[in-house]
Amino acid sequence: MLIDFQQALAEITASPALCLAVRRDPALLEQRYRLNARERSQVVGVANHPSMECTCSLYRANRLAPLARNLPTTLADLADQLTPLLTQYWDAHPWPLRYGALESERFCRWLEQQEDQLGLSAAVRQGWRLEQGALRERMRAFLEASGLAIPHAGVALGGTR
Amino acid sequence: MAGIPSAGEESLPLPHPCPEPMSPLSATARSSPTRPSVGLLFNPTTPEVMADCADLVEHLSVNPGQMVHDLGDHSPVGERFAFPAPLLEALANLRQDKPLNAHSFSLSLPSASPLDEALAGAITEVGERLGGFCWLSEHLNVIIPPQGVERHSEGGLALPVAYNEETLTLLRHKLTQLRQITGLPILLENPALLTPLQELEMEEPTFLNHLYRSGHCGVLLDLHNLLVSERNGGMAMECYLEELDPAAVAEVHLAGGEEIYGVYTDSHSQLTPAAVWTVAEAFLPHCPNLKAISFEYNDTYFACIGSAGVRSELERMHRLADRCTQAHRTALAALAAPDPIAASPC
Repeated sequence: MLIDFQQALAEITASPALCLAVRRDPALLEQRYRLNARERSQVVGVANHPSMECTCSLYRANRLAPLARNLPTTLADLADQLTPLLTQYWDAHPWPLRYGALESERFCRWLEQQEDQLGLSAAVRQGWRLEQGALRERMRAFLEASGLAIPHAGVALGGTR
Repeated sequence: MAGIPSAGEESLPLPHPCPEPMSPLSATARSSPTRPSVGLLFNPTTPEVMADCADLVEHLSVNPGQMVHDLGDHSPVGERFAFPAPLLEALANLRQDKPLNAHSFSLSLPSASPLDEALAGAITEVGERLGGFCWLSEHLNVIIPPQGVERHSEGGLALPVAYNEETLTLLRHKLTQLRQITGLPILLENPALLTPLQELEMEEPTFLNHLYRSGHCGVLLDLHNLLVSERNGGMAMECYLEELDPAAVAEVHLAGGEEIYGVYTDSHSQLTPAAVWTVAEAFLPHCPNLKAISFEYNDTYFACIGSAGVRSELERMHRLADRCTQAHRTALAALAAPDPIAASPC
């Protein structure tokens, strides 16, 4: 079934853990997707392709790029916590928003929800807040330059569910 | 539709001064061969290149997705799309009277989900704000997974496509819709495959030939993508070009890449490699409907490539365009010359 076939290819690319699981046990595909024999064989072939490590890495690099562009200080300050945090974020939101500023704003709001568990220092929290504020200001300036009404202060510019 | 094999739609006007894309080698092309134009894919360093090489740049291609920001269906400002006016104005000034082609990486046409008609409309609006696109090209990749995402989500991927009847039917429907919404001729670009699919029902050039011959789109032939696919286990470049209908090719992309994690990728980080120039010089003179040759590079590598590097690439592209024109003229002359055997009294 085409829709499941495409979804399977997308999910093994977005999740290295799933890709490795399919390599170990291709029968896992039957539990998650409706695939005919040819589609199943093609998905298993992609999961085992020697370029798959690179493909998974490029996916993660593509997801990291807007965050690195918009929140460089925050990412640097998170230091050793960054990699596990990003993995959790990408598990929670497997697909990026097309507009990088919105994707970055969504990451900030997700980070807020994790704040109590992270044990961040006051300095890290302050740097993050400043960067989030600057991002929101840039988005407001962009909307203004685009001739769109600017939401009042306090309204999340993310605007996504 | 001027030049495109008809799928039953009415002819659509092309904005001046665009060349007619994809005109089959029929009356018009036979009597007045056009020289393919030479140009660049727009990026933030293009103004610097244009300051140095404006005489060599005959057209620009632009990713319309970079000219519109998608705020989503739940946008806090009520509008899903925002158009960055300063950027649009800068590009409109830069293009002046040069033809402009849209080169999109957003619509994910092969995805098993409906066409994002609103996004197609936004791309159309970008074209209107820039003074008109000649045609719209899209990538033959699944970019957006079909399930579990909002419309303004992307996969962050460029997945391979299953070349079969089901995908052909899906694409034919979407291409017809897209053409109706945008009013533009559509080209599909062959993908750079890192993980090519095996056990395909049909090969990629056969799939593209079907779409061209049924009048749904032309082909943007990215020759560097062919090299990437070949090096990662896909079809050999020579075999691919033996199968692809040369008449389907309306635009060509040249670019260079590099190995990342031991895999050859389409990173647009280098000048066009020798292997790509070899097939370009051998194949393109046989493409009677070729209208544009474009060089793509990633602006983050501009410091390595340099303005001089881009200039040398453009100069070689002009020599290639001249060869294509000369080959076309020679072919026409042969057609016009009397057949010595038929003319013989014996």
